[in-house]
Amino acid sequence: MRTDDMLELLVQDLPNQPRPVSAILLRWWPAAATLAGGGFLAITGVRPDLIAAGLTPTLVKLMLGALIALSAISGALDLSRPEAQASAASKWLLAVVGFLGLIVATDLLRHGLDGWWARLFGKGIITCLTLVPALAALPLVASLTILRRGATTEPMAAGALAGLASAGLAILAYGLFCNEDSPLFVATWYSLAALIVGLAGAALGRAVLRW
Amino acid sequence: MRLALDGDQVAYKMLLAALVPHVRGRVRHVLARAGRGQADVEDIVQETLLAVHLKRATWDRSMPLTPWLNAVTRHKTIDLLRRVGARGEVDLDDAVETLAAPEEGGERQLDVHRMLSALDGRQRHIVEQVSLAGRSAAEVGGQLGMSEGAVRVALHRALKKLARTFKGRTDANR
Repeated sequence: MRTDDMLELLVQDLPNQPRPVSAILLRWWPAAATLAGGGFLAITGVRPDLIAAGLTPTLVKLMLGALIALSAISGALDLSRPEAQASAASKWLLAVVGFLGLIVATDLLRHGLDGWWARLFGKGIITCLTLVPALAALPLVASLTILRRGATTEPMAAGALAGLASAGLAILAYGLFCNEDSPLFVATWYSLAALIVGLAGAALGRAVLRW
Repeated sequence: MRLALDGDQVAYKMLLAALVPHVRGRVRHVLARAGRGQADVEDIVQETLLAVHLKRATWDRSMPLTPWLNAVTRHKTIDLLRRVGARGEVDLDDAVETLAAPEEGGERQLDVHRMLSALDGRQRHIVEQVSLAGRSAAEVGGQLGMSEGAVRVALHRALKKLARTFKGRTDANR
């Protein structure tokens, strides 16, 4: 086939207009997360002492989840353009780092260094590191499937951002269930759980986001 | 490009035709910088055009077109270098091919025929009628007793399959 002949093929295919990745992603990715998170909460219920424990710790968890989800998904969407670069697309994650720093600083200012060990290692570590990735699995698969329509030249970074973003949405559901309220606990183990999903996303992205 | 994305086929054809020399120049440039022969230029140009077409929704209309186009071209060129490079002993092959094969020569044609054989009979017929005979989707539909829409769906699937075949071909056929 000569190059000119190929142009004819492409012109005849023009009426098959692809939709922008963002439109599809913003519709189905939250739906997948709602299915996973909603299903989980329907079975386990929210923590019984949600109000009694004071709403601030839960709000901190929800803000952390929302911040991770928004900053990472906007980066992943940015990276679906071939000319976008990983460093620029990841810059919003600095907001997450700043928020984590704020959480830790608040904890240390309020309680000092006494007993920081006990505040860091709660009983829910394994639960957190298991359930957050489990809840993130469905939205991660959904987001990667949709990002395949994109044209990233940074498949690992795009996959990692999709993983982090999905963990962010998982944290929104898990945060309503988790009864570990120490800011040190949340800042450390929630972040680690998100990083685990981010790594999984990077490995998967490398395999499936190539084109 | 904006007109073309809104479905203006005449504008799209003019645009693609205008992009070809630019893409060819970029491919040559990237290959030369990698110290590689130019034997695969026309293959990469076609693969890039296919990608430009299938991925056109990833161009942000508020941005200039050239950086997007160059990124797609570069990606496709480097992708081929990586696949070919993993095989080893390529430089000699390429050097010989460059000397032996004129552009769009017999060797290249054979390659593409092998690629078309990845399509099933009907897809292949549609691709050949549209590309080689220059018929429209509606005309081919009349010929095959299919609706214009069904022809378009088949054509679109064929293009996606061609894009995948382009990717797999280097490993399979060399």
